[in-house]
Amino acid sequence: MADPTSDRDDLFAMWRKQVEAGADAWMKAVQQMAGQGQAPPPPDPAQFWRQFSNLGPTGSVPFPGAGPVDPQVLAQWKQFLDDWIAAWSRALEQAMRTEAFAEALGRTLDQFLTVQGKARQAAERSGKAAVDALGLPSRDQVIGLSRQMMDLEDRLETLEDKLDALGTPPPPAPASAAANDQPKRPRPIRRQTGGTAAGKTPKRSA
Amino acid sequence: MSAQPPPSDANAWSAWQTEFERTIQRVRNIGELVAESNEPAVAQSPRREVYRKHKARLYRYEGTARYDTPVLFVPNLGISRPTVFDLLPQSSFIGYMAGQGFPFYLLDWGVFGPEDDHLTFADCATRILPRMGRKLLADADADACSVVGYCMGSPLAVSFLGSHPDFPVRNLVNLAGPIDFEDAGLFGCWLDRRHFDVDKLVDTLGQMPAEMVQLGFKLLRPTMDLSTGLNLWWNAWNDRYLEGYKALQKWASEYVPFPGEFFRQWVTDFYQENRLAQGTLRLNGRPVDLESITCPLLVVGAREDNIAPPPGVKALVDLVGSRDKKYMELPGGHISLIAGRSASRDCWPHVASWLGARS
Repeated sequence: MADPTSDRDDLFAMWRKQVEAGADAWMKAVQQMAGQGQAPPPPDPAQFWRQFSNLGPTGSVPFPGAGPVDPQVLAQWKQFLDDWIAAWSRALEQAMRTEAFAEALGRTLDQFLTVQGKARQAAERSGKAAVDALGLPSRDQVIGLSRQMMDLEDRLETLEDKLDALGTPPPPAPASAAANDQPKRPRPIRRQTGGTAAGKTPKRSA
Repeated sequence: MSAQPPPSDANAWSAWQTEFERTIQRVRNIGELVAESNEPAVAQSPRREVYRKHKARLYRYEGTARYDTPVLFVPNLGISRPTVFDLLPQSSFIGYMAGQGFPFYLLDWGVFGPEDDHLTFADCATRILPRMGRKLLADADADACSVVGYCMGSPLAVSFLGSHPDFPVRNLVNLAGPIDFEDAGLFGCWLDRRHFDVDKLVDTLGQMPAEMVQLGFKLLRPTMDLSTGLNLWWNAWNDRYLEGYKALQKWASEYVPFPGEFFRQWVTDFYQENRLAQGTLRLNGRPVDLESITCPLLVVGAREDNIAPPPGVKALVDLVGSRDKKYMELPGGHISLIAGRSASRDCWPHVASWLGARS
């Protein structure tokens, strides 16, 4: 009895050979037309599909009727789909790595930004007019306020650095010399840091 | 005829029965997944906030410290939240490192709004990082620390150390952090200055919005969703897989925008001009000299990384002035290098043992 797997593989190999030969003939014809092989070779039309045809007729998946129904058939199908997705992923990556794709992507982004820029300007103008009419702060004003607070935070940090650089403060004055008549010494600024989950871990000695 | 003997009827029946039961379970679990509104709890490792500067937070993770040298972990800024490093108790890089006895600190860059658009790469490397480093040393009562950078966190950390040679760093670890952008994969191709006008983008939008960050990463691997869906269906009968899937999906759906000026500098100085590797990077007037980094160095690349291809990661080994330096290339991609089951087997123990021997 003939092995159906072998017949199937032969048929697939024959079909693949035909496709490869056709692609080869096409490339030669294009090269001749482009100046007897002087021009750089045209892209190989079969290159994109070769990675799929290299998977074989069905990868590791048996055709129905090619043998007993193995309970692992689903796992084999999963493997085939994984291989198929991986092959598509490689093919798409090849396509996206080209100059042409990068150029097209850049052009699309450029057009999007041109439209988006005008739309944003128009939306900002109308939005500002609306909040002005309502007496509410505009988006820019809120952002400006946030930035001012951040600047303030930066200044406090600078001050903290300078105070730290002065070294440890001198020991406190004796109890008898109450601070009533003394001008208050500025204390180093300590930032309040709130714990989130657990309490502070005791410090270790170095 | 097939070469393999046919399976016995009893075995085949049992296997089909198992498959049938799994399919019932798959349908039930996916139904629950779709109907469920509760978000999975991630980033549950106990921690406390040590310091905050603008949106950035420095956290100290709880754990019994066996080593004297604290670890400052610097992840990527923007793109995604650092929850991926502490997804679930059994798959947490942070939990693992803290459990190994390292006084472990995470720098969480935060989620940026329009008020942060003026924040630059230089500000992060020369203002935020040095301050966080000092606060860490004070909190840990230590005289030096190890720095572990992941992804963009590595060029940030390296730029900080290269511009602050006086900062006391004991060890440096680069996990999948791009350093040489000569061949930076698909992003390098798309962000080429001939095609990508970063100035127009930042001037128009103010920041690099989260939606565009998401689009860029989806485009990087267009078949990812298909593959994820297929794997979900295949493994949906497994409750443990589903738990990890939900946590990972929560993380993967939270994209974070880039501050506009940061993105401009990141694209121009790194992707387009490759200044860090060429030694021409200056940040707020400070030159970044990688040769001034002389501490022990571990560089880990991921073999299938399409975000930070291994050659660009490995480049750091040749650029620093360290004598004790090592490069490892592990299986997996950019994320699976540090998150997931394979990471807990292949990557974390290496990092912990390398650091442990030098801490």
